[in-house]
Amino acid sequence: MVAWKTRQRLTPYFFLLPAFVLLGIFTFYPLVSAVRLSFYEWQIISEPVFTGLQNYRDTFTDFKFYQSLRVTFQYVLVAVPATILLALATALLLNTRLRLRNLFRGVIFFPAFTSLVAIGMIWKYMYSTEYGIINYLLGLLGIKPVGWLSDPSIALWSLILVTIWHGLGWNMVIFLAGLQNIPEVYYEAARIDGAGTWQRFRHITLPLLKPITLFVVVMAVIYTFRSFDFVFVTTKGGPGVSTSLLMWYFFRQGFIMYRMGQATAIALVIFVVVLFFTLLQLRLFRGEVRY
Amino acid sequence: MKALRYLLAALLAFFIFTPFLWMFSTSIKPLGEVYGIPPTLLPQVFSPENYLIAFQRSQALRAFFVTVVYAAGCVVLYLFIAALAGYAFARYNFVGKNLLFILVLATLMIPIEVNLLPLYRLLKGLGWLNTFPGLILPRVVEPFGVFLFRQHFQTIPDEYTDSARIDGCRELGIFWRIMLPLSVPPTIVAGLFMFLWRWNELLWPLVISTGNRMRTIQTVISLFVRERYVEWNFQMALCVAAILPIFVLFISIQKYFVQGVVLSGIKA
Repeated sequence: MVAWKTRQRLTPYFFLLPAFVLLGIFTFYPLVSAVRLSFYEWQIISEPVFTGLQNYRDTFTDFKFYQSLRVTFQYVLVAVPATILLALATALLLNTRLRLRNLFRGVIFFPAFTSLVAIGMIWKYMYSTEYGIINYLLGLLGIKPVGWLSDPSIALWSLILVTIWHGLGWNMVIFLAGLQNIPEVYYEAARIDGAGTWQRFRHITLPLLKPITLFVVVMAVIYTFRSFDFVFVTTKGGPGVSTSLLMWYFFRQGFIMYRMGQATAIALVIFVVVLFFTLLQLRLFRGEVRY
Repeated sequence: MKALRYLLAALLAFFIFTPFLWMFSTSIKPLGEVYGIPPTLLPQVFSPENYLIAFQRSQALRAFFVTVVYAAGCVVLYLFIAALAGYAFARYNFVGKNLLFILVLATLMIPIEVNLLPLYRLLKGLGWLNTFPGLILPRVVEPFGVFLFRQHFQTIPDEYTDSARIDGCRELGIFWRIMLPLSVPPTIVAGLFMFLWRWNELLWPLVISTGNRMRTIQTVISLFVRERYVEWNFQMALCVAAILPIFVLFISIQKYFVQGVVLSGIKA
């Protein structure tokens, strides 16, 4: 009987064992060694050598780091609000009664699941200055070719457009779920009280969508902040440093310059920023509105 | 007013869908047409052989095989591990339960780039670079699945398990024979999303799996491109091929795609 009790008590740990073995070896242990490695000079072939804070000093004195930081902030600050506002507008539009509504939704939703590599490739082709379809169509209107990915003052904006194009559907679906959670009776009551479309939107829809919007914003910031694939397949950070997002800077230092210790330090800096936004989210959600 | 809404929706859908059409159309054009002015919307010379050539040149068939093994391996292990863990969190009380659950959730915050180089070093030490275990095992556990299964198992009434216990069923037997068969929807959603993540992933396989015969399809596509005079028709053929399985899944079980996205939004 005692043996049975003990076994019973051990059962949940036994069920958790596979998950925690893997997490321990491949998530928590590497996290600890990441912190350690960030204090080492490590160039792939040689063994790591302890250099104290050198990697951090190198990073924080590298003007490329600050440029990447600036580029990343610009990218996030434009792409995230644009995507989310557009997603909200799209959700409102596709929440009304329309024929073919599901087709529209499906089409807009689909890019969210397409590989960023393939998406980056097709846009790279369409953006091509000489052979791209976009410049060809603009040419028909008499507009001179634009260096979508080759002009340093435009390239980041081109990437932002792709980011919006890709993220629109995902956020739209979350907003649609939020809209469908709002009880119809609220709108009916408001209508009886004589509230117009705008007033209903302003005083019912918006406040009730607030928690979901906060969630969407924080997730989008985290996700966009760590964007890498587009840059890798389209611009490789160029021209100049105009599209050098932090993740590209990380990759470049690690796998092109082979400064892997420093790359790990950079990743930890990115991690701290991501952590900051995640905690911010938890903070914001403490006062969650329920309905 | 209604006409305007149709117009907006149609414009948006057009803006989203055109790149895919252009991708497909380019993939079946001869190279001359790719660089021809004016561009042709529909290929004048239908060239499906692009797919054959692109696949041969880039060894894409092998890459597809690697990607399928990678994604499927992750899915199978993930479902098993996440279901077990979710079950433990949902149906048992034990010392340290909250702490362990928070620990699982905390991994949400650890981005792969932080662990990338330590993992590279670890796998190198194990001799696991360019092997399936090295590619798969570090990418198996995601909190999303643990979460999903936990939510689901909390909704199953105790009567199911109690009567089984009285009949002398072992704990693992209860899980395996009673709980799992009741868990088709979370299994599909969790499995689907793991598959999508791994199928579309770039950074991890790009770094860990560099050997010619161990590249995934996304890596192959991203490295196949030349700097000048890109053979866009071949490139687009590979892209279409990489998107096609996802497209088929999307068409056939779109509701689970929606569920997954919504569930990721409800609780985090």
